[in-house]
Amino acid sequence: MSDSFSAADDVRSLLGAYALDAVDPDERAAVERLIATDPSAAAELAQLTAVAATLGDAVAGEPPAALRTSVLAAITDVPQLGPLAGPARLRPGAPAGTGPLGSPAAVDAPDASTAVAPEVTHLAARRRPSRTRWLAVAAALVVGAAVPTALAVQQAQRANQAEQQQQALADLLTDPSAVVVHGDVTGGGAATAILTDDRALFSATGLPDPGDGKAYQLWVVDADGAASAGVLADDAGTVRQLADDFSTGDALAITIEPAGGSTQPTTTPLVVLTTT
Amino acid sequence: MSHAQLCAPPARPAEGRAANRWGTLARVERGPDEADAPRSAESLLSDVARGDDSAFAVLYDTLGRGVFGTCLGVLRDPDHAAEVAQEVWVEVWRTAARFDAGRGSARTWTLTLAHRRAVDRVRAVQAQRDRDQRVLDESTEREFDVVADEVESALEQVRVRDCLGTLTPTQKQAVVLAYYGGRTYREVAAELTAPLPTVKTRIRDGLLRLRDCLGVTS
Repeated sequence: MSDSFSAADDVRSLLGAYALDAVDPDERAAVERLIATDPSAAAELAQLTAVAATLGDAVAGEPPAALRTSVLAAITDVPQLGPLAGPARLRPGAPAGTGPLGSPAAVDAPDASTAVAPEVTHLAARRRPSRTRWLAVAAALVVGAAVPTALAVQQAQRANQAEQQQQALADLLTDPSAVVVHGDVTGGGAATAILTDDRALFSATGLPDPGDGKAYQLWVVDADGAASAGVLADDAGTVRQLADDFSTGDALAITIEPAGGSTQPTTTPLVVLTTT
Repeated sequence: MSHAQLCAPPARPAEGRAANRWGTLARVERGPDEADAPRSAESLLSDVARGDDSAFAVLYDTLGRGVFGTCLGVLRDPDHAAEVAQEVWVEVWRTAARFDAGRGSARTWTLTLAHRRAVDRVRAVQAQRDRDQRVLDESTEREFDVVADEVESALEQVRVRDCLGTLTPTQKQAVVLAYYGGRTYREVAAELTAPLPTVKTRIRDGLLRLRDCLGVTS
């Protein structure tokens, strides 16, 4: 670690900021090394962390009732992690002298395996995948999109209704790279897509009839252009399609094409969904 | 058709967020001893770690307000708070085995996770904005006064509000901006045009004073 954080006193002065998640990744790592070797620092941090938790606990807010339902549904197919191996566990908030010292990698709380701590300030740019990342990223996108139905809860519920694609959805939703994006479709309807590193599920509802001899066609778009991901089977304005040739940074788009599909888009896209 | 053409219709128009940032400000007084409910959060969490989803439901009922409140305190927007809270709860389920009751309370463990996720969200949104090079929306460029006012009015626990009042103004400013504002201490320092070591000290001293006022042990 850089020299600027090598002195224990310097690091110790960061305990408060650490307890508030207000340090940068280098500093976080430095604090974690300190508390792994300094019981009194660990004890102080334990107290500061408890104080910080009290600050959050004190905020008034009744969670929406739907959240409980959604949370309980969400965990049903989420596998659980085992305890951290060995005696290396130590979380921020750990009282002094409660265990042998761990490696820095095992020190993060509450879950070293998915800890985003070192990447926090660069989260959008680079962040180790975590199971729940899609929610965060999706929300970030939704904020940008001003889509009224911003609740991931609703996204999940809507997704659950997509029975035909339920398994694909389940797989996608647990994909650590998955993000959810929304967009309004020009001419009517709304589109939602789950984008992962290697595939994407596109769905749209409320689409108007494309017209006689016409169909909606899905495209995967990258810097080199558009590749067809198939003509969409239109079920009363609802379409769903899995795009297998999708990779990070690509966009999904739909156009209206002759019923048999086109090799390249021939009309202006009605919606473009992307994470970038 | 060119890529540029395909990207022509913007799928993501300018943002607009709900004006109702705090939702209902229920002022239900809750004692500090919620963990003394029939089953402690620690005991519940240990059952959760073994895959007991009914214990998980009880745990949710025990800590659900705290998790949501933590997220709301940072994110302001109830919809976003609910999204992050859901993420937090899935994480609690997934990582329950990694909680060690010998090293802090289950409530602190859970709320620490909630705060971290909420801060992640704030920074992700900020990064998204930065990437988009959008003009920062005034409503989310939260100046200290705004953060502080909103926080004050939303704190249901008089005790915490009173204890925040025992901090020096500069300590309180730094703690509130960092915790509820989701700022790093460097950002706090920049915003307050104060030296970094000063801000670090203010935060730490402020928390220690809060600890003493609240009687927090660990």
